[in-house]
Amino acid sequence: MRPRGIWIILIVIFFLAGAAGSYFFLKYYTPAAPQTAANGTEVQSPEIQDLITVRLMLPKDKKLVMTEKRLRSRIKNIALAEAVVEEFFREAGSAYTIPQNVKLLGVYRDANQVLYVDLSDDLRRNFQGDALDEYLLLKGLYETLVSTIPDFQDLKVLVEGKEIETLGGHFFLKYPLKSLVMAEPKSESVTPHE
Amino acid sequence: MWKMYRIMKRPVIFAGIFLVCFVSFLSAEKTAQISLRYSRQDTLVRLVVEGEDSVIAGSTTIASPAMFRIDFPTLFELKKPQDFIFETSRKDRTLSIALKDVMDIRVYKLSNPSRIVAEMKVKPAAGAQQPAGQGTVPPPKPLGPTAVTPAKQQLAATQQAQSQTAAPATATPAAFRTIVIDPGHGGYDFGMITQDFKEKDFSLSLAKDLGAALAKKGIKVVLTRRADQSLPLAERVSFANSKTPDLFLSIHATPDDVPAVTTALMDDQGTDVVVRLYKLAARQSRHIDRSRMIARSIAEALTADPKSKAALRELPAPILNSLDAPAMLIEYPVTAKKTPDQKARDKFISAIVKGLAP
Repeated sequence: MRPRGIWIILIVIFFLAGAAGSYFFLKYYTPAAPQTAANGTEVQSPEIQDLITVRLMLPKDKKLVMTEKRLRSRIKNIALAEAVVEEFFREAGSAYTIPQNVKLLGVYRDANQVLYVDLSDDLRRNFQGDALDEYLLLKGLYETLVSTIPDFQDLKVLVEGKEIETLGGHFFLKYPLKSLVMAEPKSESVTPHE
Repeated sequence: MWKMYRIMKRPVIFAGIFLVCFVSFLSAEKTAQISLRYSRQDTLVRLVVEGEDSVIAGSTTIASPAMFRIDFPTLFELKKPQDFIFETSRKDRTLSIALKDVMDIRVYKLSNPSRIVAEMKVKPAAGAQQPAGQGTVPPPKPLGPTAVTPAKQQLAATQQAQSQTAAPATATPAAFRTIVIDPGHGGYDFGMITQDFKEKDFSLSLAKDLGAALAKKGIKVVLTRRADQSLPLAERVSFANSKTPDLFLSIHATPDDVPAVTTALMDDQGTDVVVRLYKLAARQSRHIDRSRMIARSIAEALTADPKSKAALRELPAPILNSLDAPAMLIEYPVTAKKTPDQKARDKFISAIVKGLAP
Protein backbone atom coordinates (compact mmCIF):
# COMPACT_ATOMS: atom_id res chain seq x y z
CA MET A 1 0.00 0.00 0.00
CA ARG A 2 1.27 3.44 -0.89
CA PRO A 3 1.30 6.53 1.35
CA ARG A 4 -1.74 7.78 -0.52
CA GLY A 5 -3.62 4.69 0.62
CA ILE A 6 -2.90 5.27 4.29
CA TRP A 7 -4.18 8.81 4.05
CA ILE A 8 -7.45 7.55 2.61
CA ILE A 9 -7.75 5.04 5.47
CA LEU A 10 -6.96 7.72 8.04
CA ILE A 11 -9.53 10.11 6.57
CA VAL A 12 -12.20 7.40 6.62
CA ILE A 13 -11.34 6.52 10.22
CA PHE A 14 -11.45 10.15 11.34
CA PHE A 15 -14.73 10.63 9.53
CA LEU A 16 -16.25 7.61 11.26
CA ALA A 17 -14.92 8.69 14.64
CA GLY A 18 -16.33 12.18 14.14
CA ALA A 19 -19.72 10.84 13.06
CA ALA A 20 -19.85 8.47 16.02
CA GLY A 21 -18.83 11.18 18.45
CA SER A 22 -21.46 13.56 17.10
CA TYR A 23 -24.12 10.86 17.31
CA PHE A 24 -23.45 10.09 20.95
CA PHE A 25 -23.10 13.74 21.87
CA LEU A 26 -26.43 14.60 20.30
CA LYS A 27 -28.10 11.54 21.80
CA TYR A 28 -26.97 11.86 25.40
CA TYR A 29 -25.78 15.38 26.07
CA THR A 30 -28.23 17.63 24.28
CA PRO A 31 -30.51 19.27 26.85
CA ALA A 32 -34.21 18.42 26.52
CA ALA A 33 -36.41 21.04 24.94
CA PRO A 34 -38.30 23.10 27.52
CA GLN A 35 -41.81 21.88 28.13
CA THR A 36 -44.51 24.04 26.74
CA ALA A 37 -47.46 25.00 28.84
CA ALA A 38 -50.55 22.85 28.44
CA ASN A 39 -53.48 24.28 26.58
CA GLY A 40 -55.62 26.53 28.66
CA THR A 41 -53.06 27.04 31.38
CA GLU A 42 -52.00 30.41 32.48
CA VAL A 43 -48.30 31.04 32.46
CA GLN A 44 -46.98 32.25 35.76
CA SER A 45 -46.40 35.94 35.73
CA PRO A 46 -42.84 36.97 36.46
CA GLU A 47 -44.10 40.19 37.90
CA ILE A 48 -43.89 40.20 41.65
CA GLN A 49 -45.26 42.96 43.78
CA ASP A 50 -44.52 42.43 47.48
CA LEU A 51 -45.06 40.06 50.36
CA ILE A 52 -48.49 38.92 51.46
CA THR A 53 -49.62 36.79 54.37
CA VAL A 54 -51.37 33.52 53.57
CA ARG A 55 -53.10 31.23 56.03
CA LEU A 56 -52.26 27.58 55.63
CA MET A 57 -54.74 25.15 57.21
CA LEU A 58 -52.48 22.21 57.91
CA PRO A 59 -53.49 18.78 59.16
CA LYS A 60 -51.67 18.12 62.38
CA ASP A 61 -52.43 15.74 65.25
CA LYS A 62 -55.81 14.78 63.81
CA LYS A 63 -57.03 18.35 63.42
CA LEU A 64 -56.48 21.38 61.23
CA VAL A 65 -54.13 24.02 62.58
CA MET A 66 -53.58 27.43 61.04
CA THR A 67 -50.10 28.62 60.16
CA GLU A 68 -49.40 32.03 58.65
CA LYS A 69 -46.73 32.32 56.00
CA ARG A 70 -45.33 35.31 54.15
CA LEU A 71 -45.20 34.72 50.44
CA ARG A 72 -44.30 36.97 47.57
CA SER A 73 -47.46 38.31 46.05
CA ARG A 74 -48.31 37.50 42.44
CA ILE A 75 -50.41 39.57 40.12
CA LYS A 76 -52.25 36.58 38.74
CA ASN A 77 -54.38 34.52 41.10
CA ILE A 78 -53.33 31.29 39.45
CA ALA A 79 -49.68 32.05 40.15
CA LEU A 80 -50.58 32.83 43.76
CA ALA A 81 -52.55 29.58 44.03
CA GLU A 82 -49.53 27.67 42.75
CA ALA A 83 -47.30 29.27 45.37
CA VAL A 84 -49.84 28.57 48.12
CA VAL A 85 -50.28 24.90 47.16
CA GLU A 86 -46.51 24.40 47.02
CA GLU A 87 -46.15 25.99 50.44
CA PHE A 88 -49.04 23.90 51.77
CA PHE A 89 -47.40 20.62 50.81
CA ARG A 90 -43.97 21.82 51.93
CA GLU A 91 -45.40 22.47 55.41
CA ALA A 92 -47.84 19.55 55.49
CA GLY A 93 -45.13 17.12 54.39
CA SER A 94 -43.62 17.28 57.86
CA ALA A 95 -46.55 15.18 59.08
CA TYR A 96 -45.92 11.45 58.97
CA THR A 97 -48.98 10.69 56.93
CA ILE A 98 -48.41 13.12 54.06
CA PRO A 99 -45.54 12.47 51.66
CA GLN A 100 -42.78 15.07 51.51
CA ASN A 101 -42.05 14.88 47.82
CA VAL A 102 -45.43 15.89 46.40
CA LYS A 103 -44.91 18.04 43.33
CA LEU A 104 -47.37 20.56 42.00
CA LEU A 105 -47.85 19.94 38.29
CA GLY A 106 -50.22 22.82 37.65
CA VAL A 107 -53.17 24.90 38.79
CA TYR A 108 -55.94 25.66 36.31
CA ARG A 109 -59.32 27.33 36.47
CA ASP A 110 -62.22 26.44 34.20
CA ALA A 111 -65.12 28.54 32.92
CA ASN A 112 -67.25 27.56 35.94
CA GLN A 113 -64.59 28.93 38.26
CA VAL A 114 -63.61 25.49 39.49
CA LEU A 115 -59.98 25.44 40.48
CA TYR A 116 -58.03 22.33 39.44
CA VAL A 117 -54.93 21.44 41.41
CA ASP A 118 -52.81 18.89 39.57
CA LEU A 119 -50.41 16.99 41.84
CA SER A 120 -47.82 14.30 41.29
CA ASP A 121 -48.64 10.66 41.90
CA ASP A 122 -46.39 10.70 44.98
CA LEU A 123 -49.36 12.00 46.92
CA ARG A 124 -51.50 8.97 46.16
CA ARG A 125 -48.73 6.38 46.23
CA ASN A 126 -47.11 7.48 49.46
CA PHE A 127 -50.10 8.68 51.45
CA GLN A 128 -49.87 6.92 54.81
CA GLY A 129 -52.92 8.14 56.63
CA ASP A 130 -56.26 6.82 57.76
CA ALA A 131 -59.71 8.12 56.86
CA LEU A 132 -59.48 11.15 59.15
CA ASP A 133 -56.02 12.08 57.84
CA GLU A 134 -57.28 11.92 54.28
CA TYR A 135 -60.30 14.05 55.09
CA LEU A 136 -58.21 16.65 56.90
CA LEU A 137 -55.74 16.84 54.02
CA LEU A 138 -58.50 17.52 51.50
CA LYS A 139 -60.31 19.92 53.83
CA GLY A 140 -57.06 21.71 54.69
CA LEU A 141 -56.17 22.21 51.04
CA TYR A 142 -59.63 23.54 50.27
CA GLU A 143 -59.73 25.86 53.28
CA THR A 144 -56.23 27.17 52.52
CA LEU A 145 -57.10 28.03 48.94
CA VAL A 146 -60.51 29.46 49.72
CA SER A 147 -58.97 31.77 52.30
CA THR A 148 -56.36 33.02 49.82
CA ILE A 149 -57.70 32.95 46.28
CA PRO A 150 -60.77 35.06 45.58
CA ASP A 151 -63.64 34.09 43.34
CA PHE A 152 -63.33 30.39 42.88
CA GLN A 153 -66.38 28.24 43.33
CA ASP A 154 -64.99 24.81 43.99
CA LEU A 155 -61.80 22.79 44.06
CA LYS A 156 -60.90 19.61 42.26
CA VAL A 157 -57.74 17.61 42.80
CA LEU A 158 -56.12 15.84 39.84
CA VAL A 159 -53.23 13.41 40.03
CA GLU A 160 -50.82 13.41 37.08
CA GLY A 161 -53.39 15.35 35.09
CA LYS A 162 -56.13 12.77 35.56
CA GLU A 163 -59.21 12.36 37.66
CA ILE A 164 -58.67 9.53 40.10
CA GLU A 165 -61.31 7.84 42.19
CA THR A 166 -59.74 8.32 45.56
CA LEU A 167 -56.58 9.56 47.22
CA GLY A 168 -56.30 7.23 50.20
CA GLY A 169 -59.15 4.82 49.61
CA HIS A 170 -61.74 6.53 51.81
CA PHE A 171 -63.08 9.62 49.96
CA PHE A 172 -64.02 10.38 46.38
CA LEU A 173 -61.72 12.63 44.38
CA LYS A 174 -63.81 12.36 41.23
CA TYR A 175 -66.04 15.20 42.31
CA PRO A 176 -65.25 18.75 43.39
CA LEU A 177 -64.46 18.90 47.07
CA LYS A 178 -66.65 21.69 48.41
CA SER A 179 -69.67 19.60 49.37
CA LEU A 180 -67.42 16.97 50.95
CA VAL A 181 -65.23 19.20 53.06
CA MET A 182 -67.92 21.51 54.43
CA ALA A 183 -68.64 19.11 57.30
CA GLU A 184 -66.71 19.29 60.54
CA PRO A 185 -65.44 15.87 61.57
CA LYS A 186 -66.23 14.71 65.09
CA SER A 187 -63.95 12.70 67.28
CA GLU A 188 -64.00 11.53 70.87
CA SER A 189 -61.78 9.27 72.88
CA VAL A 190 -63.35 6.21 74.49
CA THR A 191 -61.66 5.03 77.66
CA PRO A 192 -62.35 1.94 79.78
CA HIS A 193 -65.19 2.08 82.24
CA GLU A 194 -64.16 2.27 85.87
CA MET B 1 7.66 9.40 5.49
CA TRP B 2 7.78 6.03 3.77
CA LYS B 3 9.54 4.59 6.77
CA MET B 4 6.94 5.96 9.13
CA TYR B 5 4.23 4.55 6.95
CA ARG B 6 5.74 1.10 7.12
CA ILE B 7 5.94 1.29 10.91
CA MET B 8 2.43 2.65 11.43
CA LYS B 9 0.65 0.69 8.73
CA ARG B 10 -0.59 -2.27 10.75
CA PRO B 11 -1.42 -0.50 14.06
CA VAL B 12 -3.43 2.10 12.18
CA ILE B 13 -5.40 -0.49 10.25
CA PHE B 14 -6.11 -2.49 13.43
CA ALA B 15 -7.10 0.67 15.28
CA GLY B 16 -9.45 1.56 12.45
CA ILE B 17 -11.10 -1.86 12.43
CA PHE B 18 -11.41 -1.78 16.22
CA LEU B 19 -12.96 1.68 16.14
CA VAL B 20 -15.48 0.70 13.49
CA CYS B 21 -16.47 -2.42 15.44
CA PHE B 22 -16.69 -0.50 18.73
CA VAL B 23 -18.89 2.21 17.26
CA SER B 24 -21.17 -0.41 15.71
CA PHE B 25 -21.42 -2.15 19.08
CA LEU B 26 -22.31 1.06 20.91
CA SER B 27 -24.74 2.16 18.26
CA ALA B 28 -26.67 -1.10 18.39
CA GLU B 29 -29.99 -0.51 20.14
CA LYS B 30 -30.31 -2.23 23.47
CA THR B 31 -32.93 -4.90 23.85
CA ALA B 32 -35.05 -4.76 26.96
CA GLN B 33 -36.26 -7.81 28.84
CA ILE B 34 -40.01 -7.82 29.24
CA SER B 35 -41.82 -10.49 31.19
CA LEU B 36 -45.51 -11.16 30.94
CA ARG B 37 -47.49 -13.06 33.54
CA TYR B 38 -51.09 -13.36 34.52
CA SER B 39 -53.36 -14.57 37.25
CA ARG B 40 -57.00 -15.41 37.09
CA GLN B 41 -59.64 -15.60 39.73
CA ASP B 42 -63.16 -16.23 38.60
CA THR B 43 -64.00 -13.38 36.28
CA LEU B 44 -61.02 -11.23 37.15
CA VAL B 45 -57.88 -11.60 35.06
CA ARG B 46 -54.79 -9.62 35.89
CA LEU B 47 -51.95 -9.22 33.42
CA VAL B 48 -48.63 -7.95 34.68
CA VAL B 49 -45.94 -6.70 32.30
CA GLU B 50 -42.62 -6.21 34.06
CA GLY B 51 -39.46 -4.58 32.81
CA GLU B 52 -36.81 -2.01 33.57
CA ASP B 53 -37.91 1.31 35.04
CA SER B 54 -37.03 3.36 31.97
CA VAL B 55 -38.76 0.93 29.61
CA ILE B 56 -41.99 0.78 31.60
CA ALA B 57 -42.00 4.52 32.30
CA GLY B 58 -41.45 5.35 28.64
CA SER B 59 -44.06 2.98 27.28
CA THR B 60 -47.52 3.93 26.13
CA THR B 61 -50.58 1.73 26.32
CA ILE B 62 -53.80 1.49 24.39
CA ALA B 63 -56.49 -0.72 25.85
CA SER B 64 -59.88 -1.84 24.66
CA PRO B 65 -61.92 -4.96 25.44
CA ALA B 66 -60.59 -6.50 22.21
CA MET B 67 -56.95 -5.46 22.21
CA PHE B 68 -54.28 -4.38 24.66
CA ARG B 69 -51.29 -2.75 22.99
CA ILE B 70 -48.07 -1.53 24.56
CA ASP B 71 -45.53 0.57 22.68
CA PHE B 72 -42.13 0.29 24.36
CA PRO B 73 -39.38 2.86 23.83
CA THR B 74 -36.89 0.15 22.80
CA LEU B 75 -36.84 -3.24 21.18
CA PHE B 76 -37.62 -6.00 23.63
CA GLU B 77 -37.43 -9.68 24.32
CA LEU B 78 -40.62 -11.17 25.66
CA LYS B 79 -40.85 -13.88 28.26
CA LYS B 80 -44.32 -15.29 28.86
CA PRO B 81 -45.74 -18.41 30.43
CA GLN B 82 -46.47 -21.29 28.10
CA ASP B 83 -50.09 -21.45 29.14
CA PHE B 84 -50.69 -17.74 28.53
CA ILE B 85 -54.38 -17.31 27.90
CA PHE B 86 -54.32 -14.62 25.21
CA GLU B 87 -52.64 -14.46 21.84
CA THR B 88 -49.68 -12.11 21.70
CA SER B 89 -47.92 -10.63 18.72
CA ARG B 90 -44.94 -8.32 18.47
CA LYS B 91 -43.81 -5.93 15.85
CA ASP B 92 -40.67 -3.85 16.40
CA ARG B 93 -41.33 -2.09 19.69
CA THR B 94 -45.01 -2.93 19.96
CA LEU B 95 -46.56 -5.76 21.90
CA SER B 96 -50.15 -6.56 21.03
CA ILE B 97 -52.32 -8.85 23.11
CA ALA B 98 -55.56 -9.97 21.50
CA LEU B 99 -58.17 -10.14 24.25
CA LYS B 100 -61.11 -12.46 24.29
CA ASP B 101 -64.34 -12.34 26.30
CA VAL B 102 -63.20 -9.21 28.11
CA MET B 103 -65.95 -6.93 29.33
CA ASP B 104 -63.90 -4.21 30.96
CA ILE B 105 -60.22 -3.40 31.21
CA ARG B 106 -58.26 -1.01 33.39
CA VAL B 107 -54.57 -0.33 33.01
CA TYR B 108 -52.22 1.00 35.66
CA LYS B 109 -48.52 1.76 35.66
CA LEU B 110 -46.96 0.89 38.98
CA SER B 111 -43.46 1.13 40.38
CA ASN B 112 -41.29 -0.95 42.72
CA PRO B 113 -40.97 -3.04 40.68
CA SER B 114 -41.85 -1.14 37.53
CA ARG B 115 -44.77 -2.82 35.85
CA ILE B 116 -47.89 -2.31 33.83
CA VAL B 117 -50.94 -3.98 35.30
CA ALA B 118 -54.08 -4.63 33.31
CA GLU B 119 -57.10 -5.76 35.27
CA MET B 120 -59.83 -7.28 33.19
CA LYS B 121 -63.29 -8.48 33.88
CA VAL B 122 -63.98 -11.43 31.65
CA LYS B 123 -67.17 -13.23 30.93
CA PRO B 124 -67.72 -16.17 33.28
CA ALA B 125 -67.16 -19.54 31.71
CA ALA B 126 -70.41 -21.36 30.95
CA GLY B 127 -71.36 -23.68 33.79
CA ALA B 128 -68.50 -22.48 35.95
CA GLN B 129 -68.98 -23.13 39.62
CA GLN B 130 -68.32 -20.53 42.21
CA PRO B 131 -64.81 -21.24 43.42
CA ALA B 132 -63.87 -21.57 47.01
CA GLY B 133 -61.33 -18.79 46.85
CA GLN B 134 -58.05 -18.79 48.69
CA GLY B 135 -58.66 -17.13 51.99
CA THR B 136 -58.75 -18.36 55.52
CA VAL B 137 -62.50 -18.04 55.79
CA PRO B 138 -64.05 -21.49 55.62
CA PRO B 139 -65.16 -22.46 52.12
CA PRO B 140 -68.77 -21.84 51.22
CA LYS B 141 -71.26 -24.20 52.72
CA PRO B 142 -74.90 -24.60 51.86
CA LEU B 143 -76.62 -21.55 53.23
CA GLY B 144 -78.55 -22.00 56.38
CA PRO B 145 -82.14 -21.03 56.98
CA THR B 146 -81.14 -17.43 57.65
CA ALA B 147 -79.34 -17.04 54.36
CA VAL B 148 -80.67 -14.50 51.97
CA THR B 149 -80.93 -15.70 48.37
CA PRO B 150 -78.67 -13.50 46.29
CA ALA B 151 -80.82 -10.92 44.65
CA LYS B 152 -80.44 -9.62 41.16
CA GLN B 153 -76.73 -8.99 40.77
CA GLN B 154 -76.01 -5.35 40.19
CA LEU B 155 -72.39 -6.04 39.51
CA ALA B 156 -71.65 -8.48 36.80
CA ALA B 157 -68.27 -9.94 37.36
CA THR B 158 -66.25 -9.34 40.47
CA GLN B 159 -69.07 -9.97 42.85
CA GLN B 160 -69.27 -13.59 41.82
CA ALA B 161 -65.99 -14.03 43.60
CA GLN B 162 -67.38 -12.85 46.88
CA SER B 163 -67.58 -15.20 49.75
CA GLN B 164 -70.81 -16.27 51.27
CA THR B 165 -70.22 -18.16 54.44
CA ALA B 166 -72.71 -19.45 56.87
CA ALA B 167 -72.30 -21.79 59.76
CA PRO B 168 -75.05 -23.82 61.31
CA ALA B 169 -77.27 -21.43 63.18
CA THR B 170 -76.41 -22.29 66.73
CA ALA B 171 -76.28 -19.05 68.65
CA THR B 172 -77.24 -16.49 66.03
CA PRO B 173 -77.63 -13.05 67.60
CA ALA B 174 -81.07 -11.96 66.55
CA ALA B 175 -79.82 -8.54 65.55
CA PHE B 176 -77.49 -9.60 62.73
CA ARG B 177 -78.33 -12.24 60.21
CA THR B 178 -76.18 -10.91 57.38
CA ILE B 179 -73.05 -8.82 57.76
CA VAL B 180 -71.07 -7.42 54.85
CA ILE B 181 -67.38 -6.98 55.60
CA ASP B 182 -65.39 -4.73 53.31
CA PRO B 183 -61.60 -5.22 53.37
CA GLY B 184 -60.27 -1.74 52.52
CA HIS B 185 -58.04 -0.92 49.54
CA GLY B 186 -56.77 -3.70 47.23
CA GLY B 187 -55.10 -4.05 43.85
CA TYR B 188 -53.14 -0.95 42.89
CA ASP B 189 -54.39 0.80 46.03
CA PHE B 190 -51.98 -0.39 48.72
CA GLY B 191 -53.26 1.76 51.57
CA MET B 192 -50.68 2.28 54.30
CA ILE B 193 -47.31 0.65 53.69
CA THR B 194 -44.41 -0.03 56.01
CA GLN B 195 -41.49 -2.35 55.46
CA ASP B 196 -43.40 -5.54 56.30
CA PHE B 197 -46.93 -4.30 56.10
CA LYS B 198 -49.40 -3.56 53.34
CA GLU B 199 -52.80 -2.35 54.46
CA LYS B 200 -54.58 -3.99 51.53
CA ASP B 201 -53.30 -7.44 52.52
CA PHE B 202 -53.76 -6.89 56.21
CA SER B 203 -57.34 -5.66 55.90
CA LEU B 204 -58.21 -8.66 53.72
CA SER B 205 -56.68 -11.10 56.16
CA LEU B 206 -58.33 -9.42 59.14
CA ALA B 207 -61.69 -9.34 57.34
CA LYS B 208 -61.47 -13.06 56.62
CA ASP B 209 -60.61 -13.87 60.22
CA LEU B 210 -63.41 -11.65 61.47
CA GLY B 211 -65.75 -13.28 58.96
CA ALA B 212 -64.80 -16.72 60.24
CA ALA B 213 -65.38 -15.64 63.84
CA LEU B 214 -68.80 -14.22 63.00
CA ALA B 215 -69.72 -17.26 60.91
CA LYS B 216 -69.15 -19.40 63.99
CA LYS B 217 -71.90 -17.38 65.65
CA GLY B 218 -74.26 -18.36 62.85
CA ILE B 219 -74.09 -15.06 61.02
CA LYS B 220 -74.00 -15.02 57.26
CA VAL B 221 -70.90 -13.10 56.25
CA VAL B 222 -70.29 -11.62 52.84
CA LEU B 223 -66.95 -10.08 51.86
CA THR B 224 -66.79 -7.38 49.21
CA ARG B 225 -63.50 -8.81 47.98
CA ARG B 226 -61.69 -12.06 48.68
CA ALA B 227 -58.55 -11.46 46.65
CA ASP B 228 -56.04 -8.71 46.02
CA GLN B 229 -58.10 -6.76 43.54
CA SER B 230 -58.97 -3.13 43.13
CA LEU B 231 -62.60 -2.38 43.80
CA PRO B 232 -63.95 1.15 43.41
CA LEU B 233 -65.76 2.67 46.39
CA ALA B 234 -68.97 2.98 44.39
CA GLU B 235 -68.95 -0.73 43.56
CA ARG B 236 -68.36 -1.62 47.19
CA VAL B 237 -71.39 0.45 48.19
CA SER B 238 -73.52 -0.93 45.40
CA PHE B 239 -72.57 -4.51 46.20
CA ALA B 240 -73.13 -4.10 49.93
CA ASN B 241 -76.55 -2.53 49.41
CA SER B 242 -77.54 -5.35 47.05
CA LYS B 243 -77.03 -7.84 49.89
CA THR B 244 -79.46 -5.96 52.18
CA PRO B 245 -77.21 -6.58 55.18
CA ASP B 246 -78.00 -5.96 58.81
CA LEU B 247 -74.55 -4.45 59.29
CA PHE B 248 -71.67 -3.20 57.16
CA LEU B 249 -68.11 -3.17 58.49
CA SER B 250 -65.25 -1.65 56.50
CA ILE B 251 -61.84 -2.80 57.72
CA HIS B 252 -58.86 -0.44 57.49
CA ALA B 253 -55.71 0.52 59.40
CA THR B 254 -54.71 3.70 61.17
CA PRO B 255 -51.22 5.03 61.90
CA ASP B 256 -52.42 6.04 65.39
CA ASP B 257 -51.75 4.17 68.61
CA VAL B 258 -55.40 3.43 69.22
CA PRO B 259 -58.09 1.75 67.14
CA ALA B 260 -60.78 3.95 65.64
CA VAL B 261 -64.41 3.28 64.89
CA THR B 262 -65.92 5.75 62.44
CA THR B 263 -69.56 6.26 61.55
CA ALA B 264 -71.12 8.47 58.90
CA LEU B 265 -71.43 12.19 59.40
CA MET B 266 -74.76 13.21 57.98
CA ASP B 267 -75.28 16.79 56.95
CA ASP B 268 -78.99 16.91 56.36
CA GLN B 269 -79.49 20.61 56.67
CA GLY B 270 -81.65 21.88 53.86
CA THR B 271 -82.64 18.43 52.70
CA ASP B 272 -86.27 17.46 52.52
CA VAL B 273 -87.27 14.45 54.61
CA VAL B 274 -88.56 12.56 51.59
CA VAL B 275 -85.44 13.34 49.57
CA ARG B 276 -83.35 12.15 52.48
CA LEU B 277 -85.10 8.78 52.33
CA TYR B 278 -84.23 8.19 48.70
CA LYS B 279 -80.99 10.13 48.17
CA LEU B 280 -78.17 7.64 47.69
CA ALA B 281 -75.62 9.81 49.43
CA ALA B 282 -77.88 10.05 52.48
CA ARG B 283 -79.19 6.50 52.79
CA GLN B 284 -77.35 6.13 56.03
CA SER B 285 -79.51 8.81 57.66
CA ARG B 286 -82.23 6.32 58.57
CA HIS B 287 -79.70 4.00 60.23
CA ILE B 288 -77.39 6.56 61.75
CA ASP B 289 -78.58 6.22 65.35
CA ARG B 290 -78.16 2.47 65.27
CA SER B 291 -74.75 2.85 63.59
CA ARG B 292 -73.62 5.16 66.39
CA MET B 293 -74.91 2.79 69.03
CA ILE B 294 -73.13 -0.24 67.57
CA ALA B 295 -69.95 1.78 66.99
CA ARG B 296 -69.90 2.85 70.62
CA SER B 297 -70.47 -0.71 71.73
CA ILE B 298 -67.52 -1.92 69.62
CA ALA B 299 -65.31 0.97 70.82
CA GLU B 300 -66.12 0.12 74.43
CA ALA B 301 -65.37 -3.56 73.79
CA LEU B 302 -62.02 -2.53 72.29
CA THR B 303 -61.21 -0.72 75.53
CA ALA B 304 -61.88 -3.68 77.79
CA ASP B 305 -58.22 -3.62 78.78
CA PRO B 306 -57.74 -0.92 81.49
CA LYS B 307 -54.82 0.67 79.61
CA SER B 308 -56.46 0.71 76.21
CA LYS B 309 -58.26 3.52 74.42
CA ALA B 310 -60.27 3.82 71.26
CA ALA B 311 -61.36 6.72 69.09
CA LEU B 312 -64.96 7.20 68.07
CA ARG B 313 -65.28 9.37 64.99
CA GLU B 314 -67.81 10.73 62.54
CA LEU B 315 -66.80 11.49 58.97
CA PRO B 316 -68.74 12.10 55.74
CA ALA B 317 -67.17 9.04 54.12
CA PRO B 318 -69.14 8.06 51.01
CA ILE B 319 -68.82 4.36 51.74
CA LEU B 320 -70.69 4.95 55.00
CA ASN B 321 -73.08 7.72 53.97
CA SER B 322 -74.47 5.71 51.05
CA LEU B 323 -74.98 2.48 52.95
CA ASP B 324 -78.56 1.43 53.49
CA ALA B 325 -77.72 -0.39 56.73
CA PRO B 326 -75.94 0.37 59.97
CA ALA B 327 -72.38 0.95 58.82
CA MET B 328 -68.99 1.72 60.29
CA LEU B 329 -65.35 1.80 59.43
CA ILE B 330 -63.06 0.03 61.88
CA GLU B 331 -59.38 0.93 61.83
CA TYR B 332 -56.69 -1.26 63.36
CA PRO B 333 -53.73 0.60 64.89
CA VAL B 334 -50.49 -0.02 63.00
CA THR B 335 -47.45 2.07 63.84
CA ALA B 336 -43.77 1.60 63.14
CA LYS B 337 -43.38 0.32 66.70
CA LYS B 338 -46.59 -1.63 66.78
CA THR B 339 -47.02 -3.91 63.80
CA PRO B 340 -49.85 -6.38 64.04
CA ASP B 341 -49.17 -9.68 65.78
CA GLN B 342 -51.51 -12.64 65.86
CA LYS B 343 -52.36 -12.26 69.55
CA ALA B 344 -53.34 -8.63 69.17
CA ARG B 345 -55.34 -9.44 66.05
CA ASP B 346 -57.26 -12.20 67.82
CA LYS B 347 -57.98 -9.83 70.69
CA PHE B 348 -59.17 -7.19 68.26
CA ILE B 349 -61.49 -9.64 66.49
CA SER B 350 -62.86 -10.94 69.80
CA ALA B 351 -63.57 -7.38 70.89
CA ILE B 352 -65.52 -6.63 67.71
CA VAL B 353 -67.54 -9.83 68.06
CA LYS B 354 -68.19 -8.98 71.69
CA GLY B 355 -69.19 -5.45 70.75
CA LEU B 356 -71.74 -6.82 68.30
CA ALA B 357 -73.33 -9.13 70.85
CA PRO B 358 -76.80 -7.93 71.79
